[in-house]
Amino acid sequence: MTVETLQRGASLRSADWDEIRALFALEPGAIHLNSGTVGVMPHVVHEEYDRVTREWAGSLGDVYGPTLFREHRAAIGRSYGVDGDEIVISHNATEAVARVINGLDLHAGDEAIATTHECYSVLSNLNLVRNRHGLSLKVLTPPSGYRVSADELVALFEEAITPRTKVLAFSAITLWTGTMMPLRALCELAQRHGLTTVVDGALVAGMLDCNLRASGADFITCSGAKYQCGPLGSGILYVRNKVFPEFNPLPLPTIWPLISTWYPMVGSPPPRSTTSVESYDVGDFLQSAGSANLARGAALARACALWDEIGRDRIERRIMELADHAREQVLERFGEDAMYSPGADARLRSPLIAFNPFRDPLDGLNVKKIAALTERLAAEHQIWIRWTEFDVPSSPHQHYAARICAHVFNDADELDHAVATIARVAQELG
Amino acid sequence: MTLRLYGPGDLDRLDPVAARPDAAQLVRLVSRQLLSYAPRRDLREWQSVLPAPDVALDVPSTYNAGLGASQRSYVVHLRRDVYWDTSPPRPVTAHDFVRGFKRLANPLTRSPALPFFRSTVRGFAEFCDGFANARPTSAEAAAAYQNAHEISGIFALDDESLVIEVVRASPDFVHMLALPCTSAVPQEHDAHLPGSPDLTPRLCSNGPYRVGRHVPGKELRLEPNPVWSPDADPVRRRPIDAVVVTRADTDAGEVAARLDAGGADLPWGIALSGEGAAPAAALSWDLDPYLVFNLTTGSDALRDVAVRRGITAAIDRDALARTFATAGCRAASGVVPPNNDGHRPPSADDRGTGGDLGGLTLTGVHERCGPHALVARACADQLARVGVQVRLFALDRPDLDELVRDPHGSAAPRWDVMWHRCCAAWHYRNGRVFLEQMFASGAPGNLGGWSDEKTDALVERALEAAVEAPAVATAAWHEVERHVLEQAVVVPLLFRPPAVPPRSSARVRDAVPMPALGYACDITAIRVADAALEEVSA
Repeated sequence: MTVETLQRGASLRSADWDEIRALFALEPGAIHLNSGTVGVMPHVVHEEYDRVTREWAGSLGDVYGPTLFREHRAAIGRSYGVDGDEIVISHNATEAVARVINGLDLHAGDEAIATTHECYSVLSNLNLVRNRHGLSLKVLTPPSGYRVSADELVALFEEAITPRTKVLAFSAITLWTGTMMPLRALCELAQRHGLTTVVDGALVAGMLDCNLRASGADFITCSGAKYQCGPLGSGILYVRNKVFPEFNPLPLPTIWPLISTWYPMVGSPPPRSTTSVESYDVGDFLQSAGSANLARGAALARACALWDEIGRDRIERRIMELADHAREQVLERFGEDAMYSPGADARLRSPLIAFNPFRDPLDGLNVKKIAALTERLAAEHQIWIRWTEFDVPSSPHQHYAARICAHVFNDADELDHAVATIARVAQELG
Repeated sequence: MTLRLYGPGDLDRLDPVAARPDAAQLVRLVSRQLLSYAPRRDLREWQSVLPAPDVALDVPSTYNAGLGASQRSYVVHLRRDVYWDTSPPRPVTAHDFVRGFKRLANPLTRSPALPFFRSTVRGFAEFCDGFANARPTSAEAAAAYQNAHEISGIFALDDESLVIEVVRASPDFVHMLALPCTSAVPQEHDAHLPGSPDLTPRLCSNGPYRVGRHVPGKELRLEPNPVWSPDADPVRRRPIDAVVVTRADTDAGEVAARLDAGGADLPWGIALSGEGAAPAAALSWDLDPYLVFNLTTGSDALRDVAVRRGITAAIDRDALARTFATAGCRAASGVVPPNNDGHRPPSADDRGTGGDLGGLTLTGVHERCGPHALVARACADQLARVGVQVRLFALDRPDLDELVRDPHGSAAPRWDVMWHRCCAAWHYRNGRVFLEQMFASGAPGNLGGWSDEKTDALVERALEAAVEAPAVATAAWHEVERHVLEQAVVVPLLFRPPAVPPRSSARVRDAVPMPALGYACDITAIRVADAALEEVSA
């Protein structure tokens, strides 16, 4: 399906997946299985980016109003079940998580809990607060493997909580093993202990048909360029800005918008809301930071709109079906013991599948082999995956895995071919 | 052009795993490490204390996939263009580094760096203990143990990749990988006991020089290594044609006079500062000297902490500092000298109070050359005033080195107190270099044999705290220091600033002091002017 077709008003809601695949600027002949790192932009997103850039090039207009992205934030918010005041268009998930972690009201002696399976940007910013404010940081290593259960993961966090704990920081989906963390259960755990939740949702946006507010999290930081397939350098930050007791009854946590043009120059903002009506637009405080790349916000909003047109429920179903297919292929070829991603507990399955592709389990400790595998897949077969590295409980070693990610622009044939090729190349590598 | 070194330093042990720290200046010429330091003219530049790639292609970090999120697994990729001067030349491989770590763990040479690796690298302590239990007395036996056992946390993925696993996140570990004792070691060295002088003339080199002539105890000549290439070495150059080291039992005055007269170019085994303003204020100082109590084979009286505190209180460190004021020395207020992590401002609490010392007679040993003889004499005089008689014995450098290597062995002379020095093995994030080295139970640098569960627990806690906020990490080392001072395990005497700029002959150019070499000059950066040519051009 082309842009022209779209312009004629054809319904994407009923388009088949081959037509939807044609919307994306895919490299001919390549198999893109790395949306966990960066997705593929649809043509209309490209075009929106170019259009807005041209529109503002040399413009004498007032750029400061549009930089708040209010319209786009409201639209994106609707896509994710929240309001515009709860949404910020950020440069990426890293910038968003840095703003949150550094903006929390943390003091010496307070404790945060995270895992070794977080993105480095989460751990580095927590360490920054540790160095700056004396935060105590407890970093857990979650279990991995096909048989991991959601209950195990919740119990791991629960055991680590102490009276000093103030923050739970975790990924909604871990980038290393593709574990769909039990988001709602962890947020409920945090609520029972009065904790603030900082959720790295970099992989959530564009993958799951989700209501961010219903997760019960205080902050969710998303990438705009991974599964949402927006422009590089775009992100979505959800900030809980009103109290819906059915999702999270706790008072709103203090957040200091560290980079802000619109934070009051004198005096303080009003007290934070204790009801379902915001007392002020915290999104404006966080969004306003001088001039901005207007094209980036517009293109991200266009990507979100495209997802809505296709249907986010359809997209999630399709992605998960492809992932289940790929998981079966991996299990069949490599066996359950090779899996680092969960599978037995359906709640933990995601479209990111990490596994040891080599026959010898010890080769899963060899960074050279896994790097060689991914390089050969790209160079010789135009199959784009990535390798990941992570800790495994009670193992002194760093483990390495091949990670494939299914997205709507993939199909079962591609996944079959990729898994078979991975097996063959791994065997050739010995 | 030949560079000439002269002084009392050791020139018989260039085996990197066994060389004394003050031999690092020469070890740098004949060996290479995973990481090292590049010479910097301005010592205030941060890079002067920051490890740089040597045989490693990069300093492992999370940003180059060389270090995982838990900071416990290092992957080091090696250059492929570094060679041993073997016949035929052979590439330096990851297996050579594994061999180096194993050789470092030998029980014979007792490297002062051992506690750093025992407490950090997975399986290193177990390997050391097994090596010690094997009691190797021959090169064959030592090599047999090494070849039959592995350090579980150190392994080669292939010739060009090395994995090192640590038991805890240790932000200072990259500095440990830049220590000379972690050099690559070729299989040929297995034919010689670690530290054996007979290895020196047969030393395989991968550095810019190799041994040309060795007259034990007297002279060493280093000549260019034909297989070394500047293109394969990012931190060394070779502007000098040859290096000749002449050893003599001499003192600072005579060495200085020889340098000034043009009879030698650089001091060897002795620190001498040259003319010019010293930028020492921001550089890390040494604990030099301190008084060690022999708590293992020394006088029974020294096991009484009240006696040790009495001796501590009887020594007037301020008076010593006045004596050595021209060298810039200060009275030592603690164990950790200024500009090292964990240094504390002076505290009256650390001075201690006197106990009854009457009738005590002690045997004291010190180095014959250098300032320790004067300090020892002054301390003995001060102690005599409180009724403690100290019989002083001066030892030549080799004899003192041997005593330090095995201070309580059957061959060691009887001693009760010793004047010794401790210098930083690295200069940033170095909270552990003094306190773990000097006080951890069983550490070779714990010369008095102090063994104390509380000290070990405090060291362990400080090592764990290395990832905490800097103030927390530093406070943990302060706790260690307070405890050992309260127990009067040693008497810190003087803090000594580095001797910079270093003294040299008039024809030396580009004498760049290097912190990692104890502020001795990096010979790989030095040029020697041809005086005659300079005269003509003038």
